[in-house]
Amino acid sequence: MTRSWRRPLVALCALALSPMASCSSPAGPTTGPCEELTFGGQSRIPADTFVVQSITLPQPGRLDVTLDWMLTTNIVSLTLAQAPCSVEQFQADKCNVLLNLFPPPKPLVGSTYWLNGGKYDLLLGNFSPVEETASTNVVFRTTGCQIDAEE
Amino acid sequence: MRRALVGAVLAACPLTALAQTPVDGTGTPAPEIEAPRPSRWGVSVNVGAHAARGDLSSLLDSPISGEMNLFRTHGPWRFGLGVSFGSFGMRGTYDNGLEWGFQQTYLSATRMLRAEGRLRPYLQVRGGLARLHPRSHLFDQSPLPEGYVLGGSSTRPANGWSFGVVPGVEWNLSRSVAIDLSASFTGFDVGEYDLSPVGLPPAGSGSTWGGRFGLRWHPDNGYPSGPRERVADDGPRDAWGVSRNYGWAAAQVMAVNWVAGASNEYVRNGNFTQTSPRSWWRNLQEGFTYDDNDFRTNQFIHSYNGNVYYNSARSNGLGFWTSAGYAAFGASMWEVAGETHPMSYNDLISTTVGGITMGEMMYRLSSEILDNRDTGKSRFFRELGAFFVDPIRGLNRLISGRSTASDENPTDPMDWRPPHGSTLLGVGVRIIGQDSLATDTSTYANLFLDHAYGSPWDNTRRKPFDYAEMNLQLTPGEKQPISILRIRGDVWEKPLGDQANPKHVFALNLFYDYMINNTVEFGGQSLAPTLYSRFRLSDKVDVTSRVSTLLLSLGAVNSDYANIAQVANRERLREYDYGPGAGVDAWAHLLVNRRPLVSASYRWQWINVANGSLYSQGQSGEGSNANHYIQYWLVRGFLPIRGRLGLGADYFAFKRKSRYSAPGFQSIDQHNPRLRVYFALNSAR
Repeated sequence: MTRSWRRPLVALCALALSPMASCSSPAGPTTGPCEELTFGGQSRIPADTFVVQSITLPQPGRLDVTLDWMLTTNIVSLTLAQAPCSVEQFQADKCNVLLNLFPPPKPLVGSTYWLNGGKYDLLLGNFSPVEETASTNVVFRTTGCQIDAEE
Repeated sequence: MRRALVGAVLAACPLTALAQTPVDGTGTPAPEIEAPRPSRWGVSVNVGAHAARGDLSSLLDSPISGEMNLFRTHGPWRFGLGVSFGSFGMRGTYDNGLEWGFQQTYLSATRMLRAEGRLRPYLQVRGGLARLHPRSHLFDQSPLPEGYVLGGSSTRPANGWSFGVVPGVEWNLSRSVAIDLSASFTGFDVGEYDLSPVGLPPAGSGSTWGGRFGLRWHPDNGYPSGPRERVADDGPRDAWGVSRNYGWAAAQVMAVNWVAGASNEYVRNGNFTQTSPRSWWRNLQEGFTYDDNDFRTNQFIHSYNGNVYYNSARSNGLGFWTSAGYAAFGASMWEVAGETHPMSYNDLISTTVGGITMGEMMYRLSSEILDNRDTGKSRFFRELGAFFVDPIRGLNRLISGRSTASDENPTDPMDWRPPHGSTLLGVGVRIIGQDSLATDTSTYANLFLDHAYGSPWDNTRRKPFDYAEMNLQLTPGEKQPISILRIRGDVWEKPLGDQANPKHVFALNLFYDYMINNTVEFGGQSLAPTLYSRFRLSDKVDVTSRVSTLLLSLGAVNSDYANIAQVANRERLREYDYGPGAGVDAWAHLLVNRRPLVSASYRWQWINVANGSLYSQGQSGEGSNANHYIQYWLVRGFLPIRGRLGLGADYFAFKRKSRYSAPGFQSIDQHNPRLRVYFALNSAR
């Protein structure tokens, strides 16, 4: 049996393994101190309408969001999207949606994955025929904060 | 050594040896070779866990992979094409974030170091394209790319190359199946990626090493679509001369899914395509839910994909029911492994049931187009037409050589061009209005095809879809160019009374419905007990009717409050409801010389919403209900002008009554009339 295949194969193996010559294992990302920021407040949302609130994250981190409203029978939603995300953009499927919560349950509670620092828009939707008052509580935590459970 | 050499020689020219009838020195045909053919084609699949090194390992670690390879054997060598769906996790603080997809598309060369025995070591080298694509929102582009639309990826992919060495060993369980254990060393470079969101310098290269476990398989002894020529160890063949290739059918279903996954990543740059064993496992853990995709994707694209799975089996010599199982297999595999989005009930039903119905109809249509005895340009265009109607069948004909060979056509016309059937092909205009044809009217050009394959009264055979009907409407400029596709096929038939010349036939139908325009979205898949009747008024004039009772597995209809639907991984506001239901569908035709000149139809459909315009359904005592009652009817007249050409018109009306019990939800009545006027070719066999 011919052995002529061995040389090119060995050469190919060497080529493949060459990137591993730099089998470095560089240091990983560092963790800063734990910092928390809280955004929140009350919003009046007319019937069958969305309102938009903007928030700015100073650095990478995660958001824990809570939304509550007055009447149990009303349907209020919360959408977090990368800014800019107007109501028109959202309805035209042109927003990068990061979190989208609908009842049940009431209140709505949700968490994001890691987000980069920057501007984000919260869209609060009232799908009910009467005006609602919604209260939002958004807690921002940086990478140094303890994460209780895996996402 | 000598045995290995003989094996290598046999492997090098397997087909030529078998494709011709051997002739001995006297010119007398020699006996056919009884020895098994050496395997020619094969597939392998594996999953692997690895470790990472190099620049990118500053952030990325724990790579895992799932691969599929297709290869062809040349003696001790295998040359192949493969796709690896892999991913990396992130290190340290970010280890509970979303992963980075790592897809490799590569060519491979494998040297089998031992051709005999149960354990066969090998060495593989591979090289090709590499693509690293974060799912983590830490790396979202800001601002988003111009023209960003939901479904597209918000992060930037990085493209480059990868090269690998894979030493391994196969443990042969049988002639066609082996367990594959291997190690893998891969280097890659995708250009510098900005890691500043996590405070690291840019990086773009790395290497992985690890172990893999998988299977190597030579389906059906390594011959896709079976050899065209009959051979000594031949099995049963279908009407088109294709032997049953269970393995290749399965391999093609998998290949369709994996090619779709790779093209969704590279071409569409989707936000759901960074699949790997991580997403497969996550999907299995989360289970089934409903999704929020647009109507066309869920009700047409998924059924079309199911049709491709189905025809992977059907065009590999398998029958209706077996192919139906392959449609279910392909749909399930896609839901688990084809996308990172959670698995959904609606996709599974649409792909499986819709895919079976569409698939068999497309198979029958392509059969009507094909002609194995045709030659020249006419043959080329027949093969091309059949390819467009049923692409996987066209591909299999091409691979096996059937697309160019002069073979026999099916002996039973029911497998090719049934003696009875009709076609109405029309071109004209379509006017649709809101409440009346004078209000909010929109006008579009219109092309449609109504086709019947066979006849429930006259068919000489009663296999599934020996009688089937299809209505297709194309409306350029509308919301979607394909605005109507309805398919109905008999899966079981029983003539009532005179078996040879029945007036009435009872059947079980499969229904596929898809209707979309600027105001209406309606679709679903049903099983329908059906009664066909024919009344002969004279030698040339008949009245025929069909009455079907619809058991709707899952219907979809536009709804006013569907945007509160409970869906997993919600990204958009869905505009239609899902639910099972029941209904009635009826048709009547006045036929002259078998051509329908006057037709009328009526449909009543109830959909009990299971997902959509419901609030707290099943979650609390405040759950609501929603029901849709849909009716549509059509009246059509056709005036022959010359030969098969004539002038036609039809009036169609769609009505929806929607009733919601959630507080504040209003009852809605929708009414959309439509008028079509057209020139048409009306033909009947």
